[in-house]
Amino acid sequence: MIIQWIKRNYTIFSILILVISALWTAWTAIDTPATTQGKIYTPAVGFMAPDIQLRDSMDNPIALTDFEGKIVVLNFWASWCPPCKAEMPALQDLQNQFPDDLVVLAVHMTSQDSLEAGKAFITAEGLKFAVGYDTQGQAARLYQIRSMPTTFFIDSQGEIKDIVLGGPLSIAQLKSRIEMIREDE
Amino acid sequence: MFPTLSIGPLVLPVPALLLILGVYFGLTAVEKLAPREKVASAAAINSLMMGLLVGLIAARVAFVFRFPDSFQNSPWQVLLPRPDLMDLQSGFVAGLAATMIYVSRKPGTVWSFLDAFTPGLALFSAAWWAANFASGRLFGTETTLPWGISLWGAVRHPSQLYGFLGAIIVVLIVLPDWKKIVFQPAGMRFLVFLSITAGVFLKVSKFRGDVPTLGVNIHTDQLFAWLILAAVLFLIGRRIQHNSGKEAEYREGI
Repeated sequence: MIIQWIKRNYTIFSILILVISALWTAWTAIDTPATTQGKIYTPAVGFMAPDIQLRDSMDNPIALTDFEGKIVVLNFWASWCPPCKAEMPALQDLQNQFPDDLVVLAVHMTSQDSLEAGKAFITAEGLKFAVGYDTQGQAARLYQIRSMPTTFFIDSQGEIKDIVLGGPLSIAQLKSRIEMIREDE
Repeated sequence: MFPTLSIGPLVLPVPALLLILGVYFGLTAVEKLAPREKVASAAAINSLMMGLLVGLIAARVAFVFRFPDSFQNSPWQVLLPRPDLMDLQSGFVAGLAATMIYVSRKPGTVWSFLDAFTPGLALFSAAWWAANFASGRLFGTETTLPWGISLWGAVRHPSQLYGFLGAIIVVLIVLPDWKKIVFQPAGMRFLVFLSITAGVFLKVSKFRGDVPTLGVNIHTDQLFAWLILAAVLFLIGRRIQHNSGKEAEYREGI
């Protein structure tokens, strides 16, 4: 019966639907608060990257805020994780290709690995990018790391633009993401 | 939010699994229900697979053309089986075009084929909303309502679950065989699916905290959904007129 009524009065019905939808859109514009993206510090795409405090291989402090104004590739890894190790050469290649406006910061999850094993791997592979050691696991907790490797792509304003769970990432995957971030900037 | 599922040493991405399940159940529904639209199951599945294949290839080619420098030093990586090296919009357009061309060369009308695809699209849509819930994308605005979920530093509307519920309602409407009452003439099942889905996007957008806005805080997805809704309502009107004309001709013939 309702269907028959709709079919008989279809023009009125469709105009009514479109008017109600337009009013709903207008109400959304008036009533919905501005997005919290770009304001809250939380490990999600569109939000600001939380700051982390780490130690480098010489036990000097190293923080994410040290790299303000640069694109940061924040990579969480451990020496017992094969895909983490497999993507390290690509990360080094990326750092070599963008030496000035990009920083690769590899966060060694020391609380789930051994400090010696992490340092030995970096030395053996001759990796030159920044490596921070998360001895207490605070950085991993702050970034809610559930699997390894996990890689965050952060623009020069400190906003997370992409997150990749798992790996190994290839140079094409890494470089295309950097180009996307540069396009947006 | 459940981004990963750990099974022993394996860590599986839940959103991707949900999307794969959506494709599987969607294709199964198309295969089983296509005959009621007078479309052969094999023809319906083949046309979708053709679209999928062309779409995947086009998405990769478009991505490589967009970021040629990324593949300059390692051209073999063009063949990497990674879904993130895809230009999804280009793939969608190319896949849709391939499916339409394939369908137009088969017996039966394009409208019948679209009706045959509809149950699959509806099931995939539900899986897509669930995948977004698992990944935490399409998150909601902040709320104090008791069913708010803690996500990304605030208590938020579970906007993905609202979308999922909307998609389930769409499934319940377009899956049953109400052909004689509602889905007459051919194409109505598909158009009803599109119109209600556009309605779901319009409704849910109010609670989303991730939508880009235009001018005076107008949600871009709402604007897009409204335009689709208007176009679909116009097409439904045309199909109803077309059907009335045919019924009148039939009566005159008698």
